[in-house]
Amino acid sequence: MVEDIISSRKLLVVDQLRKSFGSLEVIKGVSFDMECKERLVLMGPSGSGKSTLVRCINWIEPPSAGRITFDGRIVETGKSDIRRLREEIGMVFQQFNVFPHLTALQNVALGPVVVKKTPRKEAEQEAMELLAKVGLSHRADHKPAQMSGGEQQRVAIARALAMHPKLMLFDEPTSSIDVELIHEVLDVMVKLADEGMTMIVVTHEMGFAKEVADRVIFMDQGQIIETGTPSDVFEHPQCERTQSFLSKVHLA
Amino acid sequence: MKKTALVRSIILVLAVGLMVTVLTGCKTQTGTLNWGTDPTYAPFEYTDANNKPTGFDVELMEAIAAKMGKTSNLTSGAFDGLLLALEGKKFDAVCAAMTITPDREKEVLFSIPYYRADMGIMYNPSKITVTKPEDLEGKTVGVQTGTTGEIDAKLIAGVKVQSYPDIQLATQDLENGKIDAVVNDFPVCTAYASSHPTLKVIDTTSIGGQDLTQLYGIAVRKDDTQLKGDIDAALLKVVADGTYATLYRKYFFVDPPYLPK
Amino acid sequence: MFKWSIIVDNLPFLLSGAWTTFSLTVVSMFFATLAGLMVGLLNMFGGKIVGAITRLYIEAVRGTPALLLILIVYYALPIIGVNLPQFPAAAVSLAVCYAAYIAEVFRSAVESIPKGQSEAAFSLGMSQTQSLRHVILPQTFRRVLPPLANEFAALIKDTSLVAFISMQDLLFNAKIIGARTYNIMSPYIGAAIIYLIMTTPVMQWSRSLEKKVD
Repeated sequence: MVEDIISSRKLLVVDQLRKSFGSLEVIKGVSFDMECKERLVLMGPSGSGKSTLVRCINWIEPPSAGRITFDGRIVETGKSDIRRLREEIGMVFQQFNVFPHLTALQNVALGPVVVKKTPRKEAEQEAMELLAKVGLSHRADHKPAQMSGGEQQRVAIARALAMHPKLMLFDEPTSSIDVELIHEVLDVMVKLADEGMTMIVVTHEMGFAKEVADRVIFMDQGQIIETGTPSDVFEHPQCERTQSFLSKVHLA
Repeated sequence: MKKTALVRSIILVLAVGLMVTVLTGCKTQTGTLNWGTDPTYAPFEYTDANNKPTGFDVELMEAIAAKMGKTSNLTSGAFDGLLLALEGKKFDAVCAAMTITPDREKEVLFSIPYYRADMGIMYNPSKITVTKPEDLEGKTVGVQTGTTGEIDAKLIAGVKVQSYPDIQLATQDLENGKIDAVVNDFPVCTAYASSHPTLKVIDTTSIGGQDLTQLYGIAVRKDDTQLKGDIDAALLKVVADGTYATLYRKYFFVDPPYLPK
Repeated sequence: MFKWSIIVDNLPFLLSGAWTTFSLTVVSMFFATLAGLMVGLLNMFGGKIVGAITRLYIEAVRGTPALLLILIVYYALPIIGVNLPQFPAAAVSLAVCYAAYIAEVFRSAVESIPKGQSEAAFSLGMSQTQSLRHVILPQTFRRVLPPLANEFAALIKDTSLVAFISMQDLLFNAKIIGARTYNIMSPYIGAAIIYLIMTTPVMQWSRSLEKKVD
């Protein structure tokens, strides 16, 4: 009973979120919520605001209006709230953004050592375990320049996981990776999903969405157009814009 | 607020750095007469073969210091910066063949005059003939910026005056034929001409009716009347025991036409 | 007329001036780099007021001839009762002058680091300070070395201005020799050679760094 109460509390509530860059409004009043262990996929044409939405959730882009509630706390722009929020939310970027001056091991250990003040030995031990989890034990002492895109992104995933986040955000994680290496990253993400990680993934990879997503949100021009289970949205899209987007993606 | 902590620690380190340099302190020795000059102006101040400062002003200041019961402590620097350094208390006196002028008297206090100089015009007799300043009409004349030579040269009717940061550059141009003459203190011109026999020097005491004779003084800070008094007294002693005349003959080869009083 | 003998005979005197020049450059450069880094960081991340003050300092210093700055610093400090001996006064003046340029060197290097790097640092929960210390500044190290080497070479040459604050550096000593021997060109050429000897290794090293960075 107690577990029901705890797990029924929404992990993330986004309420009427708006974001403008100067005079250009990119997110025009978006609302949705998520529960623990839920896997959410965000799709849509470029310029739809999906990346920006995800970047607002951990305040990499501060929202212009609206409200975000995470783990029961309302988030506002006061610095310590934000940093605490970011410790609990992990992010994986399209451009990887791994730290080029550090080895894979150091990349993964840096967060815990600097932010959580974890002793270095302990952090590095856990970092090795995480690297093993993403299949990169043999790369621990290599620098990003010596790795492929797929390997760098997996280091980035391990790096985010090292902070023990409650939510993982993936912003087009495979868009900058060579086609034949994409599966390395997707396999890791599937494994994470199976283990119960709550995640929001912005992606064009329909196969991944079908396999992993509990819910798909389709966005266009800053608004949520349609939402539902993968089979609902992919096979029985309600809106015309969803239909036309899907047909373009199918063709590709 | 981590950011203000960063800002604060940065300001602290900058302040500490500044303090460290300050606390290396200023050493003032009371047994010395600290003065400054620019040793590029023979025969008043220049350097010997070992590049040690020497010259009329140098030896005179040594004699004055001795009469004050002190040792002479000389700092060298560019002429243009000497009075600034004096103001900044890097030393307490300047002796640099410096003419006493009303403008300078607004900034510093001078001792009684220790030397009377006439103006000299140095020229190349194979190119032009100069017997009086008016002969320089229409000619180009080199001078050193900030000197009375610069002011006096401009009094000549129809002359073109070219200013140089130091007198050696002017004399170099004179030798190369780029300018026609150099106007500077007479003893400086004769000292230079003595090693450059192609050049001649004439002595002028007036241009256009204006008296050009200059009196040199030792400068101290405007409020340092104590030091001025001490220097004046010591100077008069140096004259009284004949040291002054000996020095004068050593550097100018004639008896002093003027004695400080 | 150029005479080697004048240079050779006066080499010790020239070298003593060169020592002043060199040691002054090294000390000034050290403090200028430290101060420049701090001013640069304060300018970029110190907030509105601090940012405006540092910006004013940077623009004012960069728009003023070095000689004027040296005279101002040298002349101004005694007025507030701080009377430094020769060498520290010169070092402070030069450091104040060059810190402004070096602040811009650091700013340029920090801004050249892709934004994604600081975003990744922030997404891990790092503060601005932590991001700078562990992610951004270590990456700027390679990038700032070539422009810093350039500033070093410029500083070596600007030390010649200390003759105006009564210090005997290489150039002033060359001038003294010229005045005494009535031969200006020879010691000036000697000085030029010594300046080249001091700047060339630094410039070479900088060029080899630039190749590695790319």
